Amino acid sequence: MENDEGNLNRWVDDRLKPLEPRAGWQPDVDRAFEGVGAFGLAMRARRRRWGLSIAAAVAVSSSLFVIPGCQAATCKVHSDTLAERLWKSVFPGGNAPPAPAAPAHAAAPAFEPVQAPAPAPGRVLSARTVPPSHGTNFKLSGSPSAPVLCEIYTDYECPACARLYAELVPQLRAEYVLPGKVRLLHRDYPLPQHQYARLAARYANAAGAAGQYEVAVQQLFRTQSSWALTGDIESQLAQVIPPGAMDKIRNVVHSDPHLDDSVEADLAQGRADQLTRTPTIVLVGHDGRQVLPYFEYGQLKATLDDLLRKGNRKPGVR
Amino acid sequence: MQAEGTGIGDPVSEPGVSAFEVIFRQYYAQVARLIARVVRDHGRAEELAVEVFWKLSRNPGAQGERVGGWLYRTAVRTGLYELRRQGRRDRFAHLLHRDDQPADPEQLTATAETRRQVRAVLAAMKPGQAELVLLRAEGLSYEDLAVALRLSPASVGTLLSRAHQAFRKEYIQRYGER
Repeated sequence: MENDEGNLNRWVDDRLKPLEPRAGWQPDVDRAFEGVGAFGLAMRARRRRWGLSIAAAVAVSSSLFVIPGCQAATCKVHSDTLAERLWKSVFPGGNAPPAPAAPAHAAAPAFEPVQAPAPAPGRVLSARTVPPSHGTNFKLSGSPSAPVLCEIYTDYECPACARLYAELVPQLRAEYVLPGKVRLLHRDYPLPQHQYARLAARYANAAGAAGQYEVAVQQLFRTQSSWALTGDIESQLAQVIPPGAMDKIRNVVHSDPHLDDSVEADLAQGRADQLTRTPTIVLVGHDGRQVLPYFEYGQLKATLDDLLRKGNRKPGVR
Repeated sequence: MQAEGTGIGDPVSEPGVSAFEVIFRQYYAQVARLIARVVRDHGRAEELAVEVFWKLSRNPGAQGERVGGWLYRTAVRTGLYELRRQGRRDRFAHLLHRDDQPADPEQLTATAETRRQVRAVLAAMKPGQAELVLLRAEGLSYEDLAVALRLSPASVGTLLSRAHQAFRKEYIQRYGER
């Protein structure tokens, strides 16, 4: 046994013997010692290059995947596919790539994407107004005799809508709604690329049924960045709505089969208005519906003053 | 087979010289020679030895009394990694029907052929077994092997025997009994 072991060791040693470095080869210790510092510098430079490459890759990915989806100023109604986003990022302003043929049995989208071009600035549409569905008067505020109706389409997950609700709407209420000049109608327009927008609309409308609509809307927009990540809308609303009302809201959200009716009506009206983005403001006077191409308060104020000056007396919706 | 100066112990400190430099001057040649066993190019072996010491300079925890063990372990692993990398590169070159290896005079001899075969066998073995075979060939005692590879001293003999058997089996499988 020991003999076998010895033979094996000798056999291995014989095979490994040729690996011994060349006779007379002596590593240069002094030169190598200087090389350690140079090697460290080279490694640092390599890491820096890698870091920069990774940062550049992250920046490019972000621009491809995030920015086209929901731009800083608005959220687009038409949700581009990833291929379209990539194409448009590489060829800005170019034609979209040919879309693959959809299978005949493909599921219908949540709503039809807007195919028509955006309406001209301030264009007056002749489409009739789809009134808010029964039981959703909480979406409407202001005097019934006000000559102008201001409709605001929002998506609860849209950052620009949150800004509009925090900045423009309070001024509009103070200067036009409370004095009885304008009525305000909040329309839901949940976009398909926003995962929890429709659920948020359900909670807001359920809060309306419980007499807490404005509180819920404010809280949803204020805490948008929190619940948009997890979908935990309830805990955000529970911070500002009393427990009794929250119980009622939960009950309505989970059991009311008609809760989405007003959302569907708003979406239908949005399609008729040829919405291309959220938020969108529509002014309704005696001569029809006017989709505004902006949502700056100064411009809105000028348009409202003009409408009121012309002596519009007929409210759009009663 | 104990080679001169391969014992793993405390580096001897000298006044006015940093501890790292003392370690470097004490072990560099051994580390370079160990790597040169594994990779075919002595120049590349020296580069890799510098890399090993650069890693040591960034790892103050390794610069204690077991620094020799750390250096041998890191050196043999670096050499084996380089060997496998060379193997992958050679296979790739073969797939592309390219032979971009420089004409090396040593490849023209039978010894060079044996070196190539042994290195191919080492690259194919389990890393732990290849490390044992190489460090033993470098002349490390069982105790030094246990320190360098963090093994139980009692099990080194058994593990080394298995590593030798694995080497022989792989070699014969590839090149036959010679």
